[in-house]
Amino acid sequence: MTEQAIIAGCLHNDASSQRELYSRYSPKMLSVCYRFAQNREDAEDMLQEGFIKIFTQIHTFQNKGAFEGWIRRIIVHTCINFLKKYKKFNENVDLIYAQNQPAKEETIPSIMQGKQVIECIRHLPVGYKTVLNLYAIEGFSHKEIGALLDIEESTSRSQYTRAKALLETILTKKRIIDKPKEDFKWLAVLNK
Amino acid sequence: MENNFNTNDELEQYLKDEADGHKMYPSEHVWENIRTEIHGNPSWPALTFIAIAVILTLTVSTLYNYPPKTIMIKTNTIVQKLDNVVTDATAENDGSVNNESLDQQINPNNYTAVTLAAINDRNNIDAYIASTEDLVNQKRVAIPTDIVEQIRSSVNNVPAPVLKSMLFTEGSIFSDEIQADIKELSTTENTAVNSISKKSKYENLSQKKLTVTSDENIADTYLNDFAFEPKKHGQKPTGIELQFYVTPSTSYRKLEEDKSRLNFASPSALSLSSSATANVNNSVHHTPALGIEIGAGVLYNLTSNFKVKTGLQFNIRQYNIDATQSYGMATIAFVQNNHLDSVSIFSMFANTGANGYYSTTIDNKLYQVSIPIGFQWDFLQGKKLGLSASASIQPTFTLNKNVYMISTDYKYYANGAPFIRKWNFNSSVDLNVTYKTGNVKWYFGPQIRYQHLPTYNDVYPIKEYRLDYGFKIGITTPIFK
Repeated sequence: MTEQAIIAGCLHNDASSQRELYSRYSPKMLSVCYRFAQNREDAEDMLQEGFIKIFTQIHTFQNKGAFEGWIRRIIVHTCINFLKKYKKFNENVDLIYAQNQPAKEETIPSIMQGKQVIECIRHLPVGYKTVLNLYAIEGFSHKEIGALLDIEESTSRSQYTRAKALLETILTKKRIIDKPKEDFKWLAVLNK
Repeated sequence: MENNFNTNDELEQYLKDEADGHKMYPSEHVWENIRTEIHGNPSWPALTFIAIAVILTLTVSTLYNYPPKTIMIKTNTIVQKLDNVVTDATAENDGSVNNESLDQQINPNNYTAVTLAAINDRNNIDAYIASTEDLVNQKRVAIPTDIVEQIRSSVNNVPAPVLKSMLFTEGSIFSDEIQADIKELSTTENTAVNSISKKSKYENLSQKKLTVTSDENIADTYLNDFAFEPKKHGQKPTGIELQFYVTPSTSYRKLEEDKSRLNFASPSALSLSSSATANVNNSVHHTPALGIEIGAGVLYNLTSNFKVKTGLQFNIRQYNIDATQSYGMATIAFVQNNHLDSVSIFSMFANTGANGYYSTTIDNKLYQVSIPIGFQWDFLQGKKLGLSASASIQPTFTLNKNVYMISTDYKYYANGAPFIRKWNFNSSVDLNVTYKTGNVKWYFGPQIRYQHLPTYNDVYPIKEYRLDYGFKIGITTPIFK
């Protein structure tokens, strides 16, 4: 079934087309939700809310961009609303405190590197990982993040800087990445 | 949306690449919730089965109960007609009217007298037929012989009073002239019949208990000849039987592996078994364990020895897994959308080949409810002993979630809750020795029950089919009206 046929079916509220769309995009979107969520149950709740919005608002899709991008943006907004609703992201974790947190190696499965990275992101404090996810992975600007999370743009920048530093420490401890050299450009964003 | 990936930040690019390549598969209930939210509650499949069973039972019982009521009415009608004939005859002869009460009218002795009259009526009617043939010959009426024979055979099957009314009414097959001749010929016999019936009626009125007379013996013989059985109230079977049974069984399982994953596996894939040709059945150590089926059902007799049945059955089926106590991640590799993927589930049990703290046995148990729909054939029925065979298909719903499944690298056992198939299909065949004790029939015999769909859904690549060998012990008892 082509993407256009699926969209047409969903516009007519056809259950089989909706199921097809869900089967095609839910694995990726659950991964998105999982990065924002505290646990898998929350992630599945986010996914559920997101897909209900997708099916009920599909008539607003203008066919101007990628359909997956449109779905992804709805899912991300749903995740943020979920975190706001349950007041899970309004944390301001001190960097030094966060850096002193031990890397819980036993809780991270050593199966595949990609999954390890995802688990490392998930183990960041909620405020950090939210900003990190939005900026580094979802491509939002700090201005957009500020508007989305009801925080100052500068706060978003500082949160991101701290989140990245903490993640770097964890990844290094896990030996997923090598210790950055002095001239490594990863921290270039600090000077922005 | 501002694109911030042009900052040449390697960490960000690395994170994005890793995140984009990551997939997770949601539980089935997520889609169920979404579908319910958008399309409303789906109809429960079991409700359809129950509705069909209820409608079928009601229809069958209604149809089955209808004929006896009709027969009862007809029987009463005949008795009333017989009584009317006798009363009319009495009234014609002595001018009296029938002043008997209902109790008197339904008195068995009264019936006996009426029956005697009917016998005599029949004898008279035979005489009518003979004389009618003579009349036909005399008057040279061209009635073919075969028609006369047909009439004779028909007449023998018709109750006397009814036949009488057929003969002497308008539109009769005989002409008025012939009817007049027949009446003339039967005058003597009519008088005799009326006198007997009149005498019997007055005897009934005068005495409460009558001794058995030779006339009554004749009447009983007549009743037996015409297969009139005395009605036993509350003892007539409805054709529906109740069945209760219990079947202790041992559960075996057969494992089959979906090898399609190997077509997509890269050498670095960690989640596959070490040998592509390894047989999963040889890599695990499972032993059968005792399970049980308990059920109740309803059987409907289509014929004397063939019954259809349905009911409700609770099943426990289990087998033991030899394992070792060890902590790790059980990885399930599977192919979806032509792509090899995997999920990891935390496990506390490793396969016997792995290093563990100490060996243990896991009880892999399923609790199920099923609705058997099938038939029973009592192909050999003696006075007490018999042989019976039955078969059924069983839509089955699995109740529990704590089942264990082997990871696809055969290293760990993990909780299979996310993969379990809720609805399944089983079929069952059994052969029983039956023994009757009163209204109860006992069943003893071997039974085989097979699960047609794998225990886990299609995502899990190792297909498990369960087979139970059991010994059925059951009873059936008919329902009486």
